[in-house]
Amino acid sequence: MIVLKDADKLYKGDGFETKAMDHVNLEINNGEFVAVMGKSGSGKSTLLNVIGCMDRLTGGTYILDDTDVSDLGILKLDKLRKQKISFIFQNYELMDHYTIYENIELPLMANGIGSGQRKTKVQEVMERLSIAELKRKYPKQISGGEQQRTAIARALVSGNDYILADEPTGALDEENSGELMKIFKDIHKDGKTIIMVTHDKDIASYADRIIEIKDGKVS
Amino acid sequence: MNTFLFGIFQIFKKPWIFLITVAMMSVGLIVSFYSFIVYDSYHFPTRQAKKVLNYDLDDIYKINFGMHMLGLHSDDFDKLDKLYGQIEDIQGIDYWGSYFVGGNGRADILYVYPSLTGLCDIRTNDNLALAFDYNNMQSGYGIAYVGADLSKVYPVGSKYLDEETGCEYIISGVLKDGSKWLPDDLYGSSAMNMNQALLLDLNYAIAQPENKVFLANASNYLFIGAESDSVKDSLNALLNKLELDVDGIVRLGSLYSSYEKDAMDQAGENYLLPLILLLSALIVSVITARMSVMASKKDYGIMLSNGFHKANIIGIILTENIIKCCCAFLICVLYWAMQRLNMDEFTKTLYKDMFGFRFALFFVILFLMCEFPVRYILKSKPTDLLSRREL
Repeated sequence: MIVLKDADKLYKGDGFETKAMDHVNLEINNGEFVAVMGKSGSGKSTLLNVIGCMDRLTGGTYILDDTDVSDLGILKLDKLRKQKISFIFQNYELMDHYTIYENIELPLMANGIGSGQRKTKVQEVMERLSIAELKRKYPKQISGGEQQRTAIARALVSGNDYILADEPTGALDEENSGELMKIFKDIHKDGKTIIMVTHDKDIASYADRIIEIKDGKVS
Repeated sequence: MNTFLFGIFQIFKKPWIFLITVAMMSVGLIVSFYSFIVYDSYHFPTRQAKKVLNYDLDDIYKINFGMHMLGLHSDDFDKLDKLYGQIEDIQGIDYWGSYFVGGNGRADILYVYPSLTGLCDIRTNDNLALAFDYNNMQSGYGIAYVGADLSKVYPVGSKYLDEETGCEYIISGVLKDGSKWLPDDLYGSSAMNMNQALLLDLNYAIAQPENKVFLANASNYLFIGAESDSVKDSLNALLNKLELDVDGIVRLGSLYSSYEKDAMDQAGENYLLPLILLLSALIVSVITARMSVMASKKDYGIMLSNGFHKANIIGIILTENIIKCCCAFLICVLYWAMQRLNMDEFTKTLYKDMFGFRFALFFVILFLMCEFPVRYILKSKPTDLLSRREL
């Protein structure tokens, strides 16, 4: 479960301050599929970064599965992220010089999983997402839809409970977007908690709940 | 996870960055080392001499003849002969005489007084002191020795006609492998490798009046043992008695120190170019290391967002940079190993002496290459490294 209480995120620069999150109170239960909607610059990605332990709050509390994340050190934060959270990005964020297989096995390598076990798990997710034949290809050799499915496979392979997706259909056409959302629904059936940032209402409609964010405030 | 193996994996994934970095570092290091050695080799003869001389530098005296001697007056050479003849009577002088170096196109030639051969550790291949016994010698021939590598060209018992002096010699023995003689001049020439040389009795040559002229450019040494001050006084008295035009008798150690002082005074300009080249090599290493990190910035962000710790990323960067440094230094070492075949003895000595410097330089370069990337990764958030924008 994710709980944010009076969460603030303030960015300071040379002579300016931006409040990206302003007293946000939010609860997301395990197994929920939540869409976060808002205009550009409203604080959606900041919210996702904080939930994903990629950034820290400047005020308030963040509790993830009964652990108060707010005061955790860097090492513990990294460990928590590794154990619980997987990411899917708009621009896929695949490593260009690695094959599709190597990109997907990355989280397993981070966890120190042996090569035999890695092979089994990667093969499993690739077949589930119908990208098994792309094993030896490189990201630049495949389509956007296939790249995004690779990113999803990478997010799934470690078996983490929380999947955070930042505009996953942002770079895809309508057909591929629809395909992708079917995959998300499928993942959701496995009991994963999915938090998806989007500015597309049609895409957001696939979620169980929609959270609106405006000027750093959640309504 | 095994960051070392992953670091190697990263290198294979981006081989061009690795190769360019290693190539640029290697070239910079080779050129800067070469410059140091070339400039240094002319400036520190003491180091060279200490390895070759049989005696302490402060126990060896050099006679500096005055300008008059260089005017090739036969009187002066007769006086020098008398000096050497009477030196035996001075207690405490073990070796004395003159030498100079020539060549015949095939071999270097050391023309030396038998009474001076003990200055350096020159022995026969049976490890015996050189013998210049003319009692059982055929008359009309002088005694010569040949270096270990030329013993088949000038076999023992064969005759050798020296074109420089017009004298004929009999090769009486082979010199011990690895024998060396003092450099001909004191400005950083390498020690003479006697393996590739003939050693001819100079005393025999200058018995011919027309050959006394060779003494004008010869180097003149005395080895004086204990109680050197009293010996020097006796020697000065003898020199005055013979009315030899002598500027002074100097300790070899003092003479070398004065040369080094002159060299050090000029060190600023002489070392400027090697320092600039070395600095360039350092800057290139640092810049390419930074470029490598910035080129892999996105990869590091992806790794951080997929379970890698910052410590893993730093381990990967360190592994890459250690391997780059090792490869660059290995190329440098291999290059110099090949060059050693053509290196003179002094340069070889200098190169060996620079081991400590090279060892320290490795760690300096490694530190500089890693300092920025480590700081950058430590202060960056995963989102800073990825190509994401706020939507």
